[in-house]
Amino acid sequence: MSTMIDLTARLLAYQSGRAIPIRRSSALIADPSPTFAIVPIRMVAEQVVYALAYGDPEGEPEVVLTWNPLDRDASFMEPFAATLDRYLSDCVIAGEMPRIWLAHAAALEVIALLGHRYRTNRSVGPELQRMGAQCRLLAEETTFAGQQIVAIAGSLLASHVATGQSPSEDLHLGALLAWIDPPAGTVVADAAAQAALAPAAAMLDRAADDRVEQLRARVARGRLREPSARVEAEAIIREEALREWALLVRARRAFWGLGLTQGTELTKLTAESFKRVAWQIDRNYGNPARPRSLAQRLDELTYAKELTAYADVADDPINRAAALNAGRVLDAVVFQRDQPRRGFNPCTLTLETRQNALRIRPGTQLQLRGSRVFGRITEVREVNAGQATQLTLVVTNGVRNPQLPTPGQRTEWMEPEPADLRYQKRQVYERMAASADPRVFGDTLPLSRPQPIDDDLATIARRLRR
Amino acid sequence: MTIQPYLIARQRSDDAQQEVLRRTLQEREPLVIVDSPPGAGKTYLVEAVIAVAVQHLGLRVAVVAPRAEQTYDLMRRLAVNFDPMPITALLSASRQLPDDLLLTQRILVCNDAAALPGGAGVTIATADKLLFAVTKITQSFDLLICDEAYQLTFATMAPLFELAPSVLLVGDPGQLPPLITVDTERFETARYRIHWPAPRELLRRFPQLDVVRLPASRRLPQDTVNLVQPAFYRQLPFSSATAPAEQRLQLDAATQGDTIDRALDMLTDGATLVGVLLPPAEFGREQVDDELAETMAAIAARLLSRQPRWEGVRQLSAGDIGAIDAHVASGAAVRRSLRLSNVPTDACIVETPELWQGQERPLMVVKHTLSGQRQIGEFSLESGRWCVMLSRHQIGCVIVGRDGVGDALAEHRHACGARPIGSVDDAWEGWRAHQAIWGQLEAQGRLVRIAQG
Repeated sequence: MSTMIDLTARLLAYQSGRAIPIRRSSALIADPSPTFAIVPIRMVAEQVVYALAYGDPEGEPEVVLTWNPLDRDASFMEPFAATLDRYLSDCVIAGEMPRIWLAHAAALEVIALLGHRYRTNRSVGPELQRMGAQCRLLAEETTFAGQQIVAIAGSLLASHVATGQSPSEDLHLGALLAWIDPPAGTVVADAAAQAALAPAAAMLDRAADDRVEQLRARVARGRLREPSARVEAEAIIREEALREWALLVRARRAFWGLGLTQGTELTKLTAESFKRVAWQIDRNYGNPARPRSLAQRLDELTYAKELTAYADVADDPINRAAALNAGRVLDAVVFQRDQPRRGFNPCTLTLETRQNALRIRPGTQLQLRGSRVFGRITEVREVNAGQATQLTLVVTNGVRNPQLPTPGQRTEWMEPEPADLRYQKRQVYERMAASADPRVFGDTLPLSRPQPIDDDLATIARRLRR
Repeated sequence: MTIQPYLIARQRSDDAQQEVLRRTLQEREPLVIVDSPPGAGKTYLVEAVIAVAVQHLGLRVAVVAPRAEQTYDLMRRLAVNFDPMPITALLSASRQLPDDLLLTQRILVCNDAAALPGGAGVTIATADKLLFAVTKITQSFDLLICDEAYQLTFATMAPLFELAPSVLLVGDPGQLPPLITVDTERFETARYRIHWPAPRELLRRFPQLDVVRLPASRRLPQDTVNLVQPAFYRQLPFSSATAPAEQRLQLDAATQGDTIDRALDMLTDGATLVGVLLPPAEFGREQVDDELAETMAAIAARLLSRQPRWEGVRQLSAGDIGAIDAHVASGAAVRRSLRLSNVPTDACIVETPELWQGQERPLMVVKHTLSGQRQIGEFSLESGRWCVMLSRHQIGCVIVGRDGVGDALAEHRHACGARPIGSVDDAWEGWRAHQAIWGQLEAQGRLVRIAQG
């Protein structure tokens, strides 16, 4: 969204005292059943985990925890590892999309941390290594635009509503929720500020953290009988995990409570997301390192981004209005239709628009929104002393389509769905890998192959030129 | 007798061409990289290599470029500048050659890579088209040439290498890099930087490769080179191969004596890069600055009303003036203002730098990418974009912007966070280039300011 539109939406939200929607359609497809949620709690300033709450977000969570994560005994996470593995494997075997809910980006960071720490860690058992691989897979999936597997509540809400506070204040999930569901009888900005006093960052509350630290230190010094200290520390950690769990549950409900429509293009994004995750699980979570796999990963990321951009414009009228403003969508009236034989090629449309900004040039391919009519622009010219622009569009697909527009009809054209060329490219990369050209893979260049040519090639080049 | 510097530059340019021909066609080196400044005659060089390879040595050559228009331009030049040679255009079935190329009847159009003719000749295609054809090509080539190689990623070029034992990559390292729309930070730490421009990645992997550096620009006047080379091409020293007298602007009509005329008079006095500044005002990145658009149009209109002449060459018209705006929406505002000023916009083209790459005009009017910004973003700092904008003109370029660019540059806080080892800090390079250009324009008194109101 452009800065101006974002700012205007925030001002409107501020004025009305509650968040306002900035999309009409959801960027996330409905939750599958079952759905899974993870709430990690990490130790402040350390790369270790105190607790994980997990399970169905509609039910009570399981909580695994340790009072002393610094002892590096990670076995407390094994029940979580087993449940996560069962959930993901069952989904893939059943051909159903998994859905993992996280509260915010800080939770995702902990998931990524678990991936890095345990995926190849030989000091833990295979269950935790597998958990590491799966956590890494989930973190990786979030780098793909439009992915549907990992739902990060805070990010989702922030991309669907505008609040009357700054984007950095939106990063606190509690404060963001205060704008979406303002408590009665309070000024919303005050409620948000109050909510922001409790951390929403996958860590303990300040007082809880201080107390747990105290207990840990005292146990370490032997001043307290270990069982009572442990019990108290564990109770605090559990309570904090459940507090974050409640925040996640509230955020998830708030998101679905926005009442957004489900766009038709979401199913494509879902299929893509599922394919990626299933493929990784099948191949035991490989990491791209060679030119072929790196190039494929770049193609995957690019395709995901293009497909998401297409879905955003096709499915959502607010996004479409912004795209129109930026010249990425064409709003034009059909001025003329040249189709000598109805239902047959050739078919050329002359479109006329008064749009100021146009990102359309000869060669641009367009799709009539909501139809399978496609065309290529062959000419762009100004008419009426520059007051309007006429575009010639040769219909390349859909000459028989009943939605093929007629003269006088107002039409909306957009960039077509991106072509999926990944299969062809994969073949090309396979061939590249098989050829093992040293210029691609080697550390030294092949030798030159001098030819016995004594001619002065520069003179010959001049002579050949007319 | 002292030899004029531009004559020395021409001689060195010829020597560089000779070296490319020798290393590519006689030595048959597996990889030859040619770094070229703007307007150095890259395509001229590529044409020469093709002609000698095909017509004199009977070789089978493939040529790729990033965009279809670039391949058409090369076909045009081969058809016009040389005796007939077998030229094949490898095109997708949904594309057609432009009419003028069809009319030459010199070019064989081929939609199926498996059906490419054998034997000596040149096959021309976009890099993407040849990439998808790799698995179908049955007869390899003797030489693969890539024009505008810095606009193509290693990922695109690498699969093509197996097609030929010798590869020649020609490109401009200072201009816009390949368009990649996704975050590439994770790829920066990989062993293979597949997202980098192909020549840059090859030079990282094979640092011993001896790059041929074209030493002269046949487009840019020396005055522009003095500003542009240190800002954008620190690794590529070059000078102008044109005589100062060959690139002079004459304005036949009298001056009105206002600020715009003062800037235009500077052009006629031999300053080839000058700036016209409006009073400071702040605008969002996508916000249209209508007053600035009107000023750009007013400059173009004033140039035309003063009857511009390329001294010793010809009278100039609207088609000899181009305008560049990095944003589509504000470019549209410039076009509107031009029409209101009765400057035909089908002749005086307004486009983004991406579309201006590879093109030139005698006179250019460009919008400063930092105009009206107090907080500078990475898009605006991109040095390649600014380099393209300042290197399209043959005679002179007027930069238009809001005053305060110098302050914004001075106040800019560079993000000094962690970066992968070996990655290039593009934002820093951009800031440095902008600072260098702005500093020189200011120090040399090339900026004129329009008073408030």
